[in-house]
Amino acid sequence: MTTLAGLRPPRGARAGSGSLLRRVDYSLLAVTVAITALGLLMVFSATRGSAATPNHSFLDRQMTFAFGGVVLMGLVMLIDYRTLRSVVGLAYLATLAVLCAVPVIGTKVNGARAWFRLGPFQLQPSEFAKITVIVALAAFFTIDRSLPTLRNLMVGLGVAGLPAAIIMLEPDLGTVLVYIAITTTVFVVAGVRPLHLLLLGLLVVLGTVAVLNSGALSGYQQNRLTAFVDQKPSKINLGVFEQQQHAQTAIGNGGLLGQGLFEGSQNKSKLVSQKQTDFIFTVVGEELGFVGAAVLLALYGIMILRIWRIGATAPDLFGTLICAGVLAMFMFQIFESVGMTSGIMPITGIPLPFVSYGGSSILASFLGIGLVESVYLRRFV
Amino acid sequence: MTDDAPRYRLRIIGVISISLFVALAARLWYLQILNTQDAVHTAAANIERVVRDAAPRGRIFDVNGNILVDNKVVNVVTVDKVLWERAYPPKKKAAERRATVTKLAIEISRSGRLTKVSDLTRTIDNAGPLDKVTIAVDVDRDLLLYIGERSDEFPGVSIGQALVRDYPYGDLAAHVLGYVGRISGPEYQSLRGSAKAYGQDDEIGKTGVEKIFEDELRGTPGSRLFEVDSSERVIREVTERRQDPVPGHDVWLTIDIDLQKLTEQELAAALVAARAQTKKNPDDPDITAPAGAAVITDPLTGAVRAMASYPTYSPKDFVGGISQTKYQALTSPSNFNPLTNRAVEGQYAPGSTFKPFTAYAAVDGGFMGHGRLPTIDTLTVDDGIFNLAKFDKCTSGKCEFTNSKDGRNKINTYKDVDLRKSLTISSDTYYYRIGAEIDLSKNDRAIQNAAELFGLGRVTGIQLPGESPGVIPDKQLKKERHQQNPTAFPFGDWTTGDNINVAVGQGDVLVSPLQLANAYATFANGGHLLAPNIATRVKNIDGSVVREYSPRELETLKLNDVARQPILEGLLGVTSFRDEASGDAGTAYEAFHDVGFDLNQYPIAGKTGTAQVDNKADTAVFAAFGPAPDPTKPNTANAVPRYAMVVVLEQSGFGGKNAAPVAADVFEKIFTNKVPKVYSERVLAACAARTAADIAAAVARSAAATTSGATGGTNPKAALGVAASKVSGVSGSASSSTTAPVTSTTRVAQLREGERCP
Repeated sequence: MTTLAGLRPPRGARAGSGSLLRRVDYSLLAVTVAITALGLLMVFSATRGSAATPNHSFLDRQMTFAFGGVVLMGLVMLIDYRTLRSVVGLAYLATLAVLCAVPVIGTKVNGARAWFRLGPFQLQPSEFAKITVIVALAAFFTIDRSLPTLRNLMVGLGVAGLPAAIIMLEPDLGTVLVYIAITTTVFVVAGVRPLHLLLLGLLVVLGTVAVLNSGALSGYQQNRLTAFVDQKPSKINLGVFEQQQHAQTAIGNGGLLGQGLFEGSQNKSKLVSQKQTDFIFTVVGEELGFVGAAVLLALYGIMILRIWRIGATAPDLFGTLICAGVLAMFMFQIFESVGMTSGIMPITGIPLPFVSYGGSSILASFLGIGLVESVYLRRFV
Repeated sequence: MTDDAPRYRLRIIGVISISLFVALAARLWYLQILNTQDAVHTAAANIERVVRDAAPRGRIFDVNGNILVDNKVVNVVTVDKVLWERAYPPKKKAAERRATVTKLAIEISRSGRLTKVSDLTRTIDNAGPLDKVTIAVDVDRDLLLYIGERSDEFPGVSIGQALVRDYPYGDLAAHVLGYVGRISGPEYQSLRGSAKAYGQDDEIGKTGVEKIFEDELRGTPGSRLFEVDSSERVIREVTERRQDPVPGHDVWLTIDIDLQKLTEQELAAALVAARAQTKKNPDDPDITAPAGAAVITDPLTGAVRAMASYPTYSPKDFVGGISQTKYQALTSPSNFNPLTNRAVEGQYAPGSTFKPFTAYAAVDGGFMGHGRLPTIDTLTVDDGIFNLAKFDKCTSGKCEFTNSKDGRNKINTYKDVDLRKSLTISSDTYYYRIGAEIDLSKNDRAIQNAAELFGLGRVTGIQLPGESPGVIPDKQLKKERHQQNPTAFPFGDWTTGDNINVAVGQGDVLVSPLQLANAYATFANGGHLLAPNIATRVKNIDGSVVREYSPRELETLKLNDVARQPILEGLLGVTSFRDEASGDAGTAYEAFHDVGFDLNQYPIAGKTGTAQVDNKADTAVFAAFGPAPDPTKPNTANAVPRYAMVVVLEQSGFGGKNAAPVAADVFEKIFTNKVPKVYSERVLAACAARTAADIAAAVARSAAATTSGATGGTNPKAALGVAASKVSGVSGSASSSTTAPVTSTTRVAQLREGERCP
């Protein structure tokens, strides 16, 4: 068992074999649950309304999803991640099929046709597809050890690019960006040559320019970009610009200690739209202040650190790559979601993991943690 | 595991992750710690909306407590410029905009407020981009319904209520009261820091009492703070930051509205009568009598009891903003500037009404009985001509000065003229001689000094804006004027002729009617030079007195009784003297000899003036005070003058014939206690309604009496039909009132407690 230089072996390593339960990374579970709990509070604050009797419906649904997420996570933990290698191909094809169906029979929310109506719930297949792509990429780079050839690189790109292309058509730029982050990270960790990575980077830049000029981006996506780049309002991007300003004002209004839970004036005035989903961090910033935001970031930091260490101590490359992919997914989502609300990133529709209201996001996030825990549980086997 | 490379590469990802967290933390530090103050302000501004709560302006009362200026709630039509411009972008939808303005103008005009399309366009266009422009005030309910039901046809046009000035006595005392209007840019700038913060749409006193007492009348606006959401819906009111508006103070005037109306009527009637005169010579200027002023003060207190200026205007026209067309008409010289308060702003040559001051200068200065002047009691002959060359020497200017001419164009001559009679019959040559003698003496400014002693040539200090100081010309002034503007004033050297003109109130002597009244009042009260008061006190809304204006004595003159007594007697003769033998009579004898009050009980001292104005008919002037102690009437020895009055009629002819009757009529009503009571328009309306109701009831009674006699043939269906139509009429009006945005303010006037019908 080799470990990364300078790192102590993870907790429980010395314990040798034991029950599965004793080997679980409880710190990762603890921060995940803590973040989820904080998220539930924030969703409630963002949706309770100003009426005498607070609105519980959003909170109740989110709690249901969180519970479902925990169960899902437990189930995944039970599965030995290595067995996934044999089923990932099938899962990948199924995912592609579902993604293809979304633009046809999906429902449209916020400009993107990305949801399936499933009884009382709406599911967003692209959230789950992220997990499939992570496992698929990890599997691909561990099946064939003839890396790092350009051909393999292109195949890997195809594995991630195919679902991303479909999602682009929904159109859901934010999720596509998550795919790019995941793919790049997995490529880097898998050992893609720097030259190839550079070529890939060039390709991404060219692709971005092409996409921007092709008109494939819808109007609001362009507005979000121009509002961010120009940092001043124009006739077309006024709404986006205002949203950006209002989000930053709300966060700034929190100051050091925040306005207090349920007391955020900007929150109550509904100045920031989508404040329970993609812009939930404005509620965190306003009501809990810098201290609350820092605590949340610290919890995320511990979460990322734990995933990173599990990846570093994984028994095989497959496990390492899975962890790298999950890490990239969370890291990018955290950075983009907090970054766009605080004005250092352009606005794209990305949920804050475990905090934003949304069943698919919660479930997929717990799936991700479950995978990582599954890797951790099998570290001595 | 043999290949450690992936784990080393994972480190890169770790490093990137750490830097991303650092970036987020740094950004949050900036937003929430460093820059939080800005955000807090912006956050407050985002959700807080301050609504100004206008405070009612103080009211204006007359001396007896009649409300001359009140406030009332009216329906107003406003245009929200933001919505208006959005609906009608100037370039794209000019035609539609014009069509809507035209439609609005038609509907507003139809509702009784004549409105021009051009005026309406200008009003809307001139307003600021975020303004809510008031386009019609006090409109009737039909218009409210019309616009209320067609909100999509009139984008941005809405109906609201506003507190506006109300004038229960119509146009009476318009010049004294003044009017209010929307604050101008410069006014707004200069009042920025004032305690009673002004908004850019606020009203401010523009003239008269409204202007001078602006600080008292203006209320302190309150404010209400609301928190709103992103759709501007009110979430809550921040009641702890609510400030209630404080109404302005009430101002009580010295004006007696009954006397005011009488004075205004008499003034207007005298001008109309003057226009009927025929010219003596075809070459004389037309007697057009276009304008005039009259003022009555109390010599003991300086209180202004009535102040009239003709032509006048209606302050109501300014309620809710006056149209450009109307305003131009009111300020046009061709209409003789109806907005000008001639009683204080007008400057007129006093003519012979100036003579008492010349006489005072002559006696007090010791000129009478010395040199070439007779003593006070010496009877002289006035042959109608004064030749300066014969008197002394005439080196420059005019040398021969004559008396006025009589009806047959013959120069007036008089016998047995002493100082008293010189005033009574208004001998010019008597004063030409005084003017010349004083000018040639060492004390050559004696006349000017005497005039200034009585307050002429400077503002009186009344609490009204725009007061004219008048002019008492002397050597110094003539020189200065010439130096400053040689073209307009070609001569700079003072001549004896100039002083002769001053002696009879001509030659650039100018006084305002109020000034002249105040000078006569000072003479009447024995030398107390008072600043006239227009207000008695300022009261809080709860009735407590905030400020009181007692008589303001500027100077106590030690009047020379040797001079004052004969002058007083001469002035008393003006209204009462008539010598059957010679036919000589006081210049106002005609006006006063058959007045309806006892002149022996209320002797009037007065002086007529017929002032010459270049290329225009003479200004008719009359100045008087009474009741004055008349030495020939022992029962009046203790009479105290309570009224000083000046009447000035522009381009109207003789003062004795045209101006004196105004005073005679007013004094008659005063001393016989017959000043007609004036009723406010509300009381009149209430009484008319009551009368109408009484008549209707009487008619109904008689009709009932007749029909009951002939009921037999009445068709019951027809009776039912009448009843049904009545019911539907009632229900119709009820349903329309529910759709009306505001309840109509045109209620039937009601009598208040203590009010009676004429």
